[in-house]
Amino acid sequence: VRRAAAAVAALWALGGIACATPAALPEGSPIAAPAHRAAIVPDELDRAAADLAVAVLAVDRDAASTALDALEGAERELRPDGPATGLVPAGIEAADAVRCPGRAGLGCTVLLLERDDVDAAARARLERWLADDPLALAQTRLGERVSPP
Amino acid sequence: MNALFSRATCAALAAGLLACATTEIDPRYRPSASALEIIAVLERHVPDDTYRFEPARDFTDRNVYRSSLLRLENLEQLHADALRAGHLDGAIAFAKARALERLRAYDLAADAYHLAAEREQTLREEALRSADLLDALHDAVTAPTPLATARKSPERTDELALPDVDAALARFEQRAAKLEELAHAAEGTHHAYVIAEEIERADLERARYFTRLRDVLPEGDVRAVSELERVALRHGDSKRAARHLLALADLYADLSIDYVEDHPPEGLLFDPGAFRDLVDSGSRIYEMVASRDGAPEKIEAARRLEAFLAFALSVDRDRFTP
Repeated sequence: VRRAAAAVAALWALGGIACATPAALPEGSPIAAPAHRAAIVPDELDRAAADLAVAVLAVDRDAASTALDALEGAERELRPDGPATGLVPAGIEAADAVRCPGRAGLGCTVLLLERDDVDAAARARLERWLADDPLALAQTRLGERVSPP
Repeated sequence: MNALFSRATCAALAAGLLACATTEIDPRYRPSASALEIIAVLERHVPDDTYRFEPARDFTDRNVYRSSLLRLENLEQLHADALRAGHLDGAIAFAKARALERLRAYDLAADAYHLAAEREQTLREEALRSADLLDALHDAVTAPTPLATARKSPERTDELALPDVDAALARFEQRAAKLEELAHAAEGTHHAYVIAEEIERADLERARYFTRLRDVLPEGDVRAVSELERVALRHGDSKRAARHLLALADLYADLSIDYVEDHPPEGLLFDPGAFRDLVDSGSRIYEMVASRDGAPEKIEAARRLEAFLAFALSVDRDRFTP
C-alpha cells in the first residue's frame, strides 16, 4: 500500500510538472521600440483567395468563377499531397453567394456539403443554415399535421 | 497488491490527463479562419430588403451585419501577421463598409469605402459611389433635430410662447426632401433600403414631435392623429408597420382617457357619441394588429385591446347605468 501511495504521489507530481508551462519571457528590452517581424509574403493561394474575395464583393460572377479556378489550381499545385487548407470549400461558398443568389443558394450549399474537404466548423454552420430554411420548416410542419379521425 | 498498484496508477494518470485536457470549442463559435467565409455569409445578405424585413440572423442567431463586422475585426486581430502584406486590405475594408452601413454607422462605412477605393482598383468605382452616398446620408440624419425656437409675439410678452410649428415643419420637410433625393440617386441598389429606413425614421420623428406637443398646440390632438396616420399609411410595407399602427391605437386610447378626464361621464358635458368614436377607432386598430398572425406585436395589441375595452366598458357603465 505504501508503494502504491508513493507511486500515485509521484505520478501526481509528474502530472503537475507536465501541465505547468513556464511564463513566456518578454522579447528584447522593455523600453526599446518593439521589433517588427517581416510580413508574411502571400503565396499564389493567398493571392487567388484575395482575387476571389474582390470578385464576390464586386458581384462579378465570371470573375468569381475564374478566381475560384485559380484558387483550386493553386491548392493542387502548392499542396499536392498535404492536408487541405479549407480555402477551396470556403471559396466555393463565397463564389456561390454571387453565382446562386436567393433560394438557389440552398441547392448549391447541398452540393458543397457533398465534398469531403469541408471542415467541421464550416459543415456545422452550413448544415444549420440549411436546417433554418423557413419554407422547408413549413413543409415539415404540414407533414406533421394530424389528419382528423 | 499489484492490482491495487495498477488501479491507483491508472486513476492518477486519468486524473492527470483530465487536468491537462482542454474542452473542444463548439464549431459554431470558433473564430473564422478565412475572410472568404465571412464575405460569403455577408454577401448573401447585402441585397436584403431591411426596410420590409428584419435583418437576417446568422448561425449564432445574431444580426448578420453585426456578427460579420465582429468576425472581420477579430480576423484582422488574430491573423495580423498573415494580413500585413495588405493583399486583402481592400476586400476587408469594403466588406466592413457593407456591414457598417446596415448598422447606421454611415460615417465609418464611408471611411471604410474610401480605404477600399484606395487599396483595390476593382472595387474603386462602387466604393466611391457608396462613400459619396453615405457621406450625404450621414449629413442628412445627423443634422440638428428639426425643433424650432418658440415664436415671438410682441403682444403676448407675459404668456408662454408656443413652439413655432411652421418653422419645425419646414425643417422636417427639408430633411425629407434631402432623403428623397438620396433615395432617387440610390434607386436599384441595396442602399435604397437603407435610405427607406431613414425616411421612415424621419417621418416617425416628425409624428412624435406633434404627438408630444398635442397638449400645447392648437388642434394638437387632430394634428397628432393625422401625423401618426400619415406614418402608418406611408409605411404600410415596412417591417415596423404593426408598430406604427399600435402607436396610432395608443394615441386614440390616450385621447379617450383625456376625454373622460376633461368631461367626467357623470357630467352633462360628456358626449357619448364623441367618446364612442374614439373608442371605436382605437379598438378597431388594436384588432387589426391583434389579427396579424406571426407578428410579435400581435400579443401586445391583444392585451392592450383588453385593457382598453375594460376601461371603455367601465365608463359606459358609469354613464348609462341609472
